[in-house]
Amino acid sequence: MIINNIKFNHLILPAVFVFTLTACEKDEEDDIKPVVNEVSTPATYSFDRNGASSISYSGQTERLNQLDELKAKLLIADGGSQVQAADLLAMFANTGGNGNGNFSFTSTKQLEDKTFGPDVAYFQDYINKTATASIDGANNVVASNGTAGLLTRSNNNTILVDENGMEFTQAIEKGLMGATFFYQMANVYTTADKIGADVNNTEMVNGQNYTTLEHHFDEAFGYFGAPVDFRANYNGSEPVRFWAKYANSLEANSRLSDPLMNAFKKGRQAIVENRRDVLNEQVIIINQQLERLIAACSIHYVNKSLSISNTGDRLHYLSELYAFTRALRFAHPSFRKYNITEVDNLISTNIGTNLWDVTPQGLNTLKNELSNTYNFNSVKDAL
Amino acid sequence: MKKYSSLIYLCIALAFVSCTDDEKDSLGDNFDQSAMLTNLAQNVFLPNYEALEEEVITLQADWNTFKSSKVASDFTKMSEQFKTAYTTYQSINYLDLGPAANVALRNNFNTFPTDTTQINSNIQSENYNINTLSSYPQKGFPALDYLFFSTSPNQLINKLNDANFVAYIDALINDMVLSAATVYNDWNTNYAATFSQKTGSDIGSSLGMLTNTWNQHYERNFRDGKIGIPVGIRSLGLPLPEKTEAYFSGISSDLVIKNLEEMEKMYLGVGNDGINRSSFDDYLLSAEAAELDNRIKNQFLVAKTALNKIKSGRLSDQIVNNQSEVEAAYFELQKLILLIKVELPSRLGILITYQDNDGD
Repeated sequence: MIINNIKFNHLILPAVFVFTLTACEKDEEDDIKPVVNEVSTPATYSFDRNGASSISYSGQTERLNQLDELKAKLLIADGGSQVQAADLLAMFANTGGNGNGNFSFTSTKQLEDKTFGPDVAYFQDYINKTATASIDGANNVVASNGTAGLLTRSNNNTILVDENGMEFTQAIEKGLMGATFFYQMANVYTTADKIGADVNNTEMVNGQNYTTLEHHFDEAFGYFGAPVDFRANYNGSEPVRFWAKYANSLEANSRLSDPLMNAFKKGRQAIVENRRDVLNEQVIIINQQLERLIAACSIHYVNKSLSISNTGDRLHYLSELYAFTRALRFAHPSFRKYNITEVDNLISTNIGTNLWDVTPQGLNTLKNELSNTYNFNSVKDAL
Repeated sequence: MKKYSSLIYLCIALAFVSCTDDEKDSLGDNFDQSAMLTNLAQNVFLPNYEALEEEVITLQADWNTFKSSKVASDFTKMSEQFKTAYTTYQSINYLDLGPAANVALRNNFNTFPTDTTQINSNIQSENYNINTLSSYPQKGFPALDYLFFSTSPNQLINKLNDANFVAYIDALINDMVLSAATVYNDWNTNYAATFSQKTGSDIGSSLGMLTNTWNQHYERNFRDGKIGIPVGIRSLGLPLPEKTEAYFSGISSDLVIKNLEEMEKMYLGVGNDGINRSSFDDYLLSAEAAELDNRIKNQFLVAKTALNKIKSGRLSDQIVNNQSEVEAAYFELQKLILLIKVELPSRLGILITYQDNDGD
């Protein structure tokens, strides 16, 4: 008995000490305690098979490129020149493989058929309105409440807005970030249909170096717009685009870049190791954090809208606010905090349809609501 | 046994202490940031916000007297109170954070030049909403400046017979009273404590936010808004006198000088009671940047001297008749920016973030 007690007491101090130290360690991903069969998170989104890359998301990259070029065309309208609806619609649908000559490259992919179906008409409508308003823009019509036209920003650039103050470029570009890119990530490529238990992860897709499951997950990643070494190991060569770009610019207060990248990398590694349980965990993280990213963008634009004095700047920010908040509609039903009706209500109650009539009270209510739901209270004023 | 027990507890305690997050005071210096933030909140910001609320309430009372008495002496009294309130506003206009940011106080109180066409249209049509963000150019001090001072006192007294005219001014002043009261109450009941507790120098800290909002105001609303744009810095040298703050009442110079003085007081930590306590200058001294502190204090003085040179008469006239002196004042204001936007943040480990593009 005495011998046992002495042994036990000699063990207490080091045991307690070790326990305390490990209990204090920061929650940094997987390297806390060595667990058998833990899936590690690679440093970059790079995966090989037989000495060649097994990654493929060129279709997604082409669509990101298409949205870049569509936006460039919209900026021409912002600058006060006329644009044609036919050109913009052809770019949206990638008519003839090169947007009927409006794209600088050829692709078999398009934005339109990957856009949330019920919203295709919404975007075609905005495209048509852009073209119509661009005639007013070319005639130097100044926009006001009820009148579409140009507004001058504080940097002396102009933007083209509709009669409700909505900047066409933001409604379309940020709108498609939500209705196409985010929609595909949340409601296609991270759903059972594409990465579920019955999706093949054994045979190579015909003529390719990847399985179906690997490819589908790559396609989700491709819509995020991040370089393969984003963010912790980013060497600056690949462009940071669209959603990844916003994660990057809001990083200081939202800290979403690495959680998202790590979830993508770990999820892809889990597929390599055929660990569907780990894959599903990462899918939860990806969807939750993408929704938080959208909320962070909205809160950011509330802050900018409230503090800016220049009218053109303000409507530009309010347009972004509107489009980003609207993107919450496309969240994964299993994880989303608001369904489509609730998102539409958030917008109609706090922003409304006419950006000229937005109130500080409405913006603050929206900001506080999103901040509470998505846990940004400690940083909401700085976002 | 006993020795072992105390040793165990000591080790546990040490292990926990060594593990706590050191989010505060990442500079690792000896400066008591909490004291600085508390001083600014309690002795500079709160009393100034309280004063603003009081002065706007008094303005409302003086307007009520004048609108019913319709005598010139009551107009004089009210116009003096207008000047007092507008001047008091200059003591907090750079604080676009917390409660003031929530109600967009600066935009609501002082968007200029005011949209005189829209104001007249509002009054005539009786169809307006001054609660929207886009109504900023139709309200606040600049709108009152136009409505009170664009005509002679006698002409103004005649307008008092127009019920729409009176109702519009009622609405504008009431809106200002509500905003000023909301901001003061929020600061008084909880934000002063929140502000004082967010130590550190990261982006979300009080120091980070204060440095950014101060610089942004100094650059855009003070240097450019009050002097630069009117004197023609953005219009290839063509002066735009009608873009001057307080264009109609002509008190522009008083306002710009007062704003500079109040920002200097904030920098020094001088409270409403006139006592100099902890603020940026002390922080710089603690960071062994006494030389920078001296240069900042000196440039405040040089800038004030330059503004005093163009003080006589109306600033809108000086801009046209004495353009080179006004430009000279602009350049002295510009020199201070280099110190407070680049050197000061660098010494204190603060990031200036308001210049970031919006990821467009």
